[in-house]
Amino acid sequence: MKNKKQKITLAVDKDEKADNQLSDTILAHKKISETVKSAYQFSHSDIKMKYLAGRVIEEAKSGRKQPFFQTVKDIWFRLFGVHSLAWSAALSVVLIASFGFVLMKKYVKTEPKQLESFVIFQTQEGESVVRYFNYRSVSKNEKI
Amino acid sequence: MKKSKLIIFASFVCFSAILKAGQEKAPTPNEQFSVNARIFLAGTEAKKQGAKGMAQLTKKEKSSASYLPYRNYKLITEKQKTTSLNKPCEIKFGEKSSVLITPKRSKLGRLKIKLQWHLPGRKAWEKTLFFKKNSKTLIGVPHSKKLGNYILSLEIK
Repeated sequence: MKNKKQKITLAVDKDEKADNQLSDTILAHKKISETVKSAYQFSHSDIKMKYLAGRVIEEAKSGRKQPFFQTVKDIWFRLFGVHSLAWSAALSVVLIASFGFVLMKKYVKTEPKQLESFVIFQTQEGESVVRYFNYRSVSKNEKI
Repeated sequence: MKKSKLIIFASFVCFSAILKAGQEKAPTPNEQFSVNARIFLAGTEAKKQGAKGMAQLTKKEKSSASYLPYRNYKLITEKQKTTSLNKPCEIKFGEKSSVLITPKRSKLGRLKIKLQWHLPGRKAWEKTLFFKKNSKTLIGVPHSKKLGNYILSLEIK
């Protein structure tokens, strides 16, 4: 948490310093302004907004593109305010897995574990009796 | 001290007597069973294959089949085999389908039998059922769309 706060404060400091230093060409960069705008639209907390803005400005200064995981992290940050990369990755995995599970349940046909059937036998008095039961499926590893 | 010793001795005698009685009642392992199995295809599939009505059923089978919703029965296979306790008796029918009938226990005219079905493209299915000796019993085969409605008529002597 301390590291995060430090990073955020650093980013905010950088943001403030960079405001004076940034050239007109960087500020005029459409992409940056758009991302900053979107960051302001999605998040409501000042710290969050400054964090994102700081990241964008940092990126503009270094001239490097956002790495993939950073982009994923940003998406989660904007949606749910998740800061940590590990948390965002874990949430992504859970989301994809649950989506896959729902799809599998819908489209993959699995055999039932029990199958209903009947047996009809005659009693000593000669009356027929019907009983219903379930067959049990035998797995491949089970000895038959 | 004497009383407790007597009680221990008496309980030992009783326990050994119970064990001996149990051994006497247990069936001999070489007991032979005659398995008479008839497998029928029932319903509209039997009608498609040219079998109409219950003509191929015996009198006992007819009375039992009156409990079933099918009106057409076609005899697919009929086999008579001998087997003993814990020895599976295999009866093949249809395409790559078979049933294993294994007598597990025989006591007072009652039989405990394990049925194992092997059907094409499916897992094996099994069930342990109790039968009465010398009586016709109709058993439903695990249903599948590919296989159709099969019924096993079993008599064990």
